[in-house]
Amino acid sequence: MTENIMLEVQDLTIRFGGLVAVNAVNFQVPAGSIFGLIGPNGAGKTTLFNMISGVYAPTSGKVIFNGQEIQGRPPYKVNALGIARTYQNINLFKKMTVLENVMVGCHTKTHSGLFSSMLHTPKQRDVIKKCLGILDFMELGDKAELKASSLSYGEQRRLEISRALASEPKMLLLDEPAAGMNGAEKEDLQQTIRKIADKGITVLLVEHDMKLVMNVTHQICVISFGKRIAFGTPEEIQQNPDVIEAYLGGGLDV
Amino acid sequence: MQTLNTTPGGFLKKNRYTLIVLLILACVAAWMLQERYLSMILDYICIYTIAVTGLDILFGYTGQVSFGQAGFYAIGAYTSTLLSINLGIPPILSILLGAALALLFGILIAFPASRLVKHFLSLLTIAFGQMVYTYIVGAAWLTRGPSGITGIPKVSLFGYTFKGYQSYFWLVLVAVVLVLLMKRNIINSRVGRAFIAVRENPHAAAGMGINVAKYKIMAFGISAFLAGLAGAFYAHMVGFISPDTFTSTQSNMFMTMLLFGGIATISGSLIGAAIITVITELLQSFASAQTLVYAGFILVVLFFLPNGVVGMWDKARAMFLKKRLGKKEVAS
Repeated sequence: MTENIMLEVQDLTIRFGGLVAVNAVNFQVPAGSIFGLIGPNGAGKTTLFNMISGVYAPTSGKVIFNGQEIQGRPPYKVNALGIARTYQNINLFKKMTVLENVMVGCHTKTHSGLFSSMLHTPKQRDVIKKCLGILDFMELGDKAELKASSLSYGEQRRLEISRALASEPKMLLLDEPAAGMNGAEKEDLQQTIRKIADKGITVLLVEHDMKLVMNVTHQICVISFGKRIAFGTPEEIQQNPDVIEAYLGGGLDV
Repeated sequence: MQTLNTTPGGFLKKNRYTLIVLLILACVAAWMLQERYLSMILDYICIYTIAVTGLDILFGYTGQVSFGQAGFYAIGAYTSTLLSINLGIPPILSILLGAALALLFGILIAFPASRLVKHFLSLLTIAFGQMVYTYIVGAAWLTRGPSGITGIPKVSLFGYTFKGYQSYFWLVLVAVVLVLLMKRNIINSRVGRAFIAVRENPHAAAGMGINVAKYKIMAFGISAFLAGLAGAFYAHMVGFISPDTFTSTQSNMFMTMLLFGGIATISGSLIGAAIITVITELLQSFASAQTLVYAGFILVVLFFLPNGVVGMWDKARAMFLKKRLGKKEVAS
């Protein structure tokens, strides 16, 4: 493999009291790829996400992003480095408009401080233009002035992605973006994820919808009970006996 | 984008109601300025608006509650008083220094406070207000204790002294206008959006690259600075300060004004300060029941005006516009 590695997770482990939620997980995400992270409920996928995005500091192991160790850094610094994320439970700024939500996403890409904000109305045209462009890209352009809370569920998920894109990430972490979406919305989402990857943004996807994951990803890492049990292309994963066992239940002898 | 429309005609049309309201307010103010007592009320409204604006940035926009604003108000008042009396610093400068010291205390208190939420934060801010009060009562060598300080010099600027309530009004009016413009600029900026993001969802805010603790500290600093500024203006207006002014009742009054006027709005702090000041004056004979009156107001807000007077006004206007729009659609 000669391709560049965008994200590398090395022996990542986290313990909550006596519980080992993630146990020595390793994987490498090539730059520009769409990488799937799957596993049964409670396998530790979101916990892994939280360690990569800085919400949790791992007990041991490394997260190497773009050649830099980032484990244990606070979320706002991780975002500034170029990792943006969405949340499994939608975490929008509900009372702000759709446009304002995306503008918050630009926080690390704009630099006006308290005093320059105070003294004159800052020139926000460029920021607004950029954010409207992102909303158009995510097909939310006509909703820009609405309150975020007034959007439908699928639209709120798209807004979360828009907000994440506003920070111009090198890598986007999507935590179950298809949850609660209907069939048509899932089709759209699949297109959207491809379009995002076409822009050169590496995508790390946690998702339960197997059809979506198998269709859209280049490589998949499977974890179960906090451990990596398989790694490979979608075709390899579909035929892997360990994965089938983890998903369909290994019978009574487990 | 409509929001970017800055042509003068567009401005007049869009802000028609605001301009009419401002005109009426100016007429009322001009009438009140003819009398000394009424001018004093105007001065109080301006001073309270400054303090409540600070509280709004902290509580309304950033979501950090404070029941200890009287502490910052006291620091501003006492610092400016002592500097101008003991060191002969011109009041216009000592007022700013008083506000600066309040800012410093605001930042100091914000370090522990930024780690606390809701009722724990309320308790911390109440304790802070109480500590300042206890200190100014106890430290008689500095503050002359419960008997207070008299003979606070009046503010002079370019050789003109603001002696009476009438002339002082122009000074505090300029301050209020500047403070409200500053508030509007902050709220519509990257910093303001960060404040609101912290209030709405601190986890998502951090995920979007916002240093949540930093913005909480910033909001605390701004609110302390404005409370201190208001306190200093107050001291040089009345010429006498004593600890009685800086009890928790004062903090509660600021909170009542904010809630009644409407949190997280540009004009809410002004409207709340105006209404509550006038009502407090009208109920002077029930001064002992002041806290009870404030409690009553907060209950009214909680049950009937969740977004304060400004929220009610916006709602009424939205309904009116909708009706008109509906009629137009039927007509076409």
